[in-house]
Amino acid sequence: MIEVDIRKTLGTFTLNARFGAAAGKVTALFGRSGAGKTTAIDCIAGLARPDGGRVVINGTTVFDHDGRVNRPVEARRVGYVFQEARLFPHMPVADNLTYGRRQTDGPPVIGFDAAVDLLDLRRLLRRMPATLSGGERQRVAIGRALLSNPAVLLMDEPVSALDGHRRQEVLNFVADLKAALSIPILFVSHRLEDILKIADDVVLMNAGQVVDHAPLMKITHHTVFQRALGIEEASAVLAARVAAHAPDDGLTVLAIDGGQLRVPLLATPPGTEVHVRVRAVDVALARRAPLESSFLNILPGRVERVFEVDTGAIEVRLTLGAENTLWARVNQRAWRDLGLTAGASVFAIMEKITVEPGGRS
Amino acid sequence: MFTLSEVEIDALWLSLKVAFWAVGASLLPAYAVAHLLARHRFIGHGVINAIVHLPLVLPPVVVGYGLLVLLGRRGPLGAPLFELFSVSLAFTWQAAAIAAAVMAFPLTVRAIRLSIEAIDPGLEAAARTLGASFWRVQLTIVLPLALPGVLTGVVLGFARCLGEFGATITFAANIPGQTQTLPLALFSLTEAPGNDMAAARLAVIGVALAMIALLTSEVMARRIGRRLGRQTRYSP
Repeated sequence: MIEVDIRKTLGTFTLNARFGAAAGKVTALFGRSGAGKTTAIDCIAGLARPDGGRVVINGTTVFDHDGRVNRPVEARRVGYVFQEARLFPHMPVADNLTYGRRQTDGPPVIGFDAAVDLLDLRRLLRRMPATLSGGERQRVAIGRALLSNPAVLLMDEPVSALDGHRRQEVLNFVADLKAALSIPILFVSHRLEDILKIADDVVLMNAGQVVDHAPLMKITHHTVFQRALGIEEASAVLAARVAAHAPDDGLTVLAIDGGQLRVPLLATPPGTEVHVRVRAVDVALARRAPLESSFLNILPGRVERVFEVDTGAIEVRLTLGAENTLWARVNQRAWRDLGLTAGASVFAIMEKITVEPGGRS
Repeated sequence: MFTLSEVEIDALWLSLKVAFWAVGASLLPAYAVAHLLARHRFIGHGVINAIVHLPLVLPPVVVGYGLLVLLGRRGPLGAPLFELFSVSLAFTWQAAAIAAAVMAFPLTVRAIRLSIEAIDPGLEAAARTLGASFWRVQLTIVLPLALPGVLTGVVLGFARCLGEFGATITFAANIPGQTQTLPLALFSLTEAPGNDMAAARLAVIGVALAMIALLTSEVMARRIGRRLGRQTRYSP
């Protein structure tokens, strides 16, 4: 358990962050670059000093401005995985892993052999860091942080320097960690794919402020979340359940609040909870349901609010069912021709849907 | 066959002793000053930096004279030293070592400072998050990674000590067998007529000594570099 309530001013930028993170969960710190995510976790680790507020890790106050508590970095028991692995170049992997070993802080979070097996490091133990690939380095960095027996694991964009394949590989390891550990994991990211894969909760940050702290599906409601993702990546995330398979049609039917979705056949058994991602650019709107079309997924919804984002484009926030949010990016001219306003009923045509396994853990 | 005369052996041995003690005794302070200049920002940073580099730009004779004034028997440091411990430095080999140490100090500091500045401070931050105290970080991260620079500093300083002339002759004088190092002996030989051959021999010894020092440092630096994986991407 970790509680953060800090203020820090850096030039014209002011960080004012208040959030918590529970043990056994991955809490993502999300926001565009410059939102204050890294500063926030640096304040937790003690690498940056807040101007005011408190940081409490597992009931231990490590920083309290008013109470004049400011524990040094080395006494805070934080495992920190940096964007660039920061392995010690003059030590083989094994020595890097054991550098932070602390025997005095109670039972270890994870044993050496367990960590080595979990992160698949066995065959790397005698190698020097300079000979490792980016993904291997990051795995060693994660193992090193874990073996220091931390009370909290802080990860600052640990996969952003990696290419697609390595990124998936490291994320899979982090997902496994979550199940194996009982400490809070704070994961800084600005990519939706990463968060979809491993995060339970999202702390949405913008310009130094915490906008919201909620499960991912609720966070997608915020315009600052969509702005941070960018035009192409702006998306809604819906909680769904595998309802049935139709192998003859090559389709799987997913049940969501507000209707059903049909996606290419999945291997997951019926009843499984999944996340569904729908990009705003893949959603078209119509006043009436197209009668004869090849679209598989057309759902009725309601226009909730309209945002003019930039020249020529409109982003429409829709409500599906009771409280599902869907985003559609529409051309301004097309939107005028539709003649819809907030509150109007509309049909959302989803051209493409991505299913992410996992869902709620 | 190249055999050394007694005078040559004396001068060579004294030079090595002076250089060894000069570098040995100033290494720790040099490392501390280098670390201070590389990793800390404080008021007076520029002043300390200037003072450290002063011997590099001053005429060595000025440095020697300054040492004489400061550490001479009536100097502000020399007087108490003599009264309390009956130690008189001037005209001893220790004086030659002090003169050499002061002259070599900027070179050693500079080499070490550059290598510390080249270390990613992020590594030190990472070590601290892993529970390492300031001193453990220094011993296990900064010092090993700065080792090539320390080595360069030692060799440069050593070579500078071997060649030191102006400050030594001013502070320690030119006494054969006591303070007459290689350059001083060479100087004496060139002052008197008919010593061309003896002078040339000393010059060759000096060149050989410098070459050995430089080659040794090269080999050691390469070995360290290989250990850090900078030159070869080798794995067992």
